[in-house]
Amino acid sequence: VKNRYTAVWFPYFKTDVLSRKDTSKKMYPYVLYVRDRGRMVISAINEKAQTLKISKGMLLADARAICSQLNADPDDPPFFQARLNKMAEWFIRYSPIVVADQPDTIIINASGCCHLWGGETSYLKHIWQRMNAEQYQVKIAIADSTLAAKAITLHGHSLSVVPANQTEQVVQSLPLSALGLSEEIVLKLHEWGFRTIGSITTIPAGVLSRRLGPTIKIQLDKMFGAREEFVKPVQETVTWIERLPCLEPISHLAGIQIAIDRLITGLIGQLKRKGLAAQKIILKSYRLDGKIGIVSESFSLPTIDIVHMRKILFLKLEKISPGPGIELFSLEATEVAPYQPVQLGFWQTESEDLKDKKLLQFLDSVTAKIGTDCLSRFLPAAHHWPERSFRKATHFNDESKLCWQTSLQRPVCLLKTPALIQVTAPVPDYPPMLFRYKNKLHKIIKADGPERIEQEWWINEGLHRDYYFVEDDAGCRYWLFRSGHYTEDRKEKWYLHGFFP
Amino acid sequence: LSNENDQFCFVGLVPKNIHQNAKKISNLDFKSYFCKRMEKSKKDIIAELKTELWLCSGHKAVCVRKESKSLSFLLSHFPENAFPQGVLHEFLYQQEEEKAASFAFTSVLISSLLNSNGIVVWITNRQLIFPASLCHFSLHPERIFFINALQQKEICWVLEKALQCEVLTAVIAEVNHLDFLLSRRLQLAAEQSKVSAFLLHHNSGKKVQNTCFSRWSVQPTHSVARDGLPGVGNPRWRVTLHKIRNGKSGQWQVEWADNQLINIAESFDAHLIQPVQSA
Repeated sequence: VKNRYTAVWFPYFKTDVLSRKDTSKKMYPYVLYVRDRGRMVISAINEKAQTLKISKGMLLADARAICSQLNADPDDPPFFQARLNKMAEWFIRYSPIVVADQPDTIIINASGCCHLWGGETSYLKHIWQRMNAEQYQVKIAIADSTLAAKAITLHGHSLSVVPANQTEQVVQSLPLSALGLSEEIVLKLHEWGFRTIGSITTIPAGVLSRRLGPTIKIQLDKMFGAREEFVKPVQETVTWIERLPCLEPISHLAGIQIAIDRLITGLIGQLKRKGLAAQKIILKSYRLDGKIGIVSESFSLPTIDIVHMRKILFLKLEKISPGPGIELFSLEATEVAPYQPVQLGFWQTESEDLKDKKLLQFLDSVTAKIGTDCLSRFLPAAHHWPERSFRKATHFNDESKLCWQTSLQRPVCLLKTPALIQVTAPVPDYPPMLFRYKNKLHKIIKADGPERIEQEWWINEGLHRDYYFVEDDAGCRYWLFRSGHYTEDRKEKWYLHGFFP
Repeated sequence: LSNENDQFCFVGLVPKNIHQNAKKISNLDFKSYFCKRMEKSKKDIIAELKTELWLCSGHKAVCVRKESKSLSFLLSHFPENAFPQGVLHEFLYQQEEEKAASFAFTSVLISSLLNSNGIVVWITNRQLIFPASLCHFSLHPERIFFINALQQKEICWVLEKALQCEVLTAVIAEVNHLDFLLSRRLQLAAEQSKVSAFLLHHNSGKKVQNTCFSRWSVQPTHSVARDGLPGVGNPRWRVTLHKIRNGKSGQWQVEWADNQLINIAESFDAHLIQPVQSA
């Protein structure tokens, strides 16, 4: 398939962005300026200013001389860069591969997309209308290469379609600057009497490259689509994607449910054919007002179960707000893994596979409802420090080669942060006689310890802890520790860290 | 039931709710029904009939016949001398210390009476359980899924979903509030899947009314170190079974030693047992 590229050029991008909020700015000449070596240089203009022959690179003072009522604002390049990127993201509805070509062009890889809008002409018209409705002035062209499309937007009509394989004829008459060469080379070519692209295509390529370097040949190849131009899309393309454009914007629950059903069936069909299963999915809903609703979901094990996926997504239905209506749904599988029918590893219980699936479905629905952080399974870790002696399992089949340390007494309930207590301890390095926790006095009758646990200096610096296992007069058992050594000048601190059964 | 003069008739009070089911029985030809059974001993027949009556009155609990000699003192208080599955067990606690003891006792029940290798879901509410400590009670910490749910609404949702998942052995949860409606709803879910639920109910002395199958409380008591050595001994608890359907309530003083639950109430410290306080 021949590649087709659409270039959308915003001639007055910066001023358009600013005058959308304030339409009165459109009526009068309006410029943006940057400070450069103590001068104020115009960096962006609007259409009214252009008719007055104000151009970019002019000094603001000169422009004021032409038009005394000139509106001028300071420029903010990073803001406009981000704005163009955001704009490019919006254009993803026209094709999955969109490039933001700073400062004011968006390039769309429209290969195989145009027929969805009824041909190339109506594709461009659609973009044109949407942009005009949003009060952006644009010039759009579609051609075989990005460079050709860009050149034609700059020099051609506001809407131009270059038919496939006819680039050479169309760009013949364009000036040399459209090739994207450095100014030096263009000047030299001008000196030698070359004005248009057509005039240099007739000369053998070797002759020019001997005098001016290989760039001319490279740019010409790019222009005619013989060489791919490297482009970095605003969003990496996802291979596993299912889209559902809607004829009428959807704003009711039943419609969304049907849409999700269709997307899931399509996506799972795609994955099944390749023997894959989805690990992470993202459901996006593109709204009429330009907002994009995103619902992402990850499964504990890769799945191709339609019913399960449906259940999980339906749990999140409340998070999809249709607003004025949703015009496009897309379901992506952002992480996929080869599908394995038996995946339970060490979980294998006596029951059959079918039942084991239920556990996964239960876990997935919990994480979908409450959030992924709420679910944890603990495995032993090679640390003595109590808070670090266990770690969260990273995935469902995660196993540890270590064994749980059972030789030492450990409490069942641990406090997340040790609670400060007041104690009476008569002899250094002996357990306290009594302690006060939450305003209740506990008299200690029996005690074991101390068990000293040092800080792991390669992770964290701080005081060591001396742990005591104590029992009070009511028969309750606690885990206390003193932070650091006894010293004469400093009052040592005692903490309660856990409850023994 | 009595069989004087070859005549069979119901003796005693019949619970109201079994009237409808009783009709089915009365339609049977009693004589032939019992003649078949005459070969067995009288005791067996009565036991069998009791089970039947029990099932007719709407109980769907399935008892686990796991022989455990060391736990026979507990089992004798359960219906049919076996631990019921697929029901709600409620554990009342007031303080953090009692909660820790209840957690440990629950772990003991699961590991020694249900399945020590099963998958357990543990629904916590801001509480951090020290996983390694559960090894002391014969549970495998890596086979436990901890779910941290903050709101009561979320806890109930997860609890119900977990009870519908029949792969699990047991579900342990901390609840702040357990009323009649909620307990009934959870009971229905548990009945279907045969998953046992252990609900730790924080209760500040209020009267509880719900449909839990059994109601317990576990309090830590003074430990005794072996051979009179100084230091803290094995964990000891005062376990109170406030109520259990078709069983007897009771109170024990137990010690967890060498992976066994030992009943020490009769042998010693008998005076410590206080009269049963029904909640």
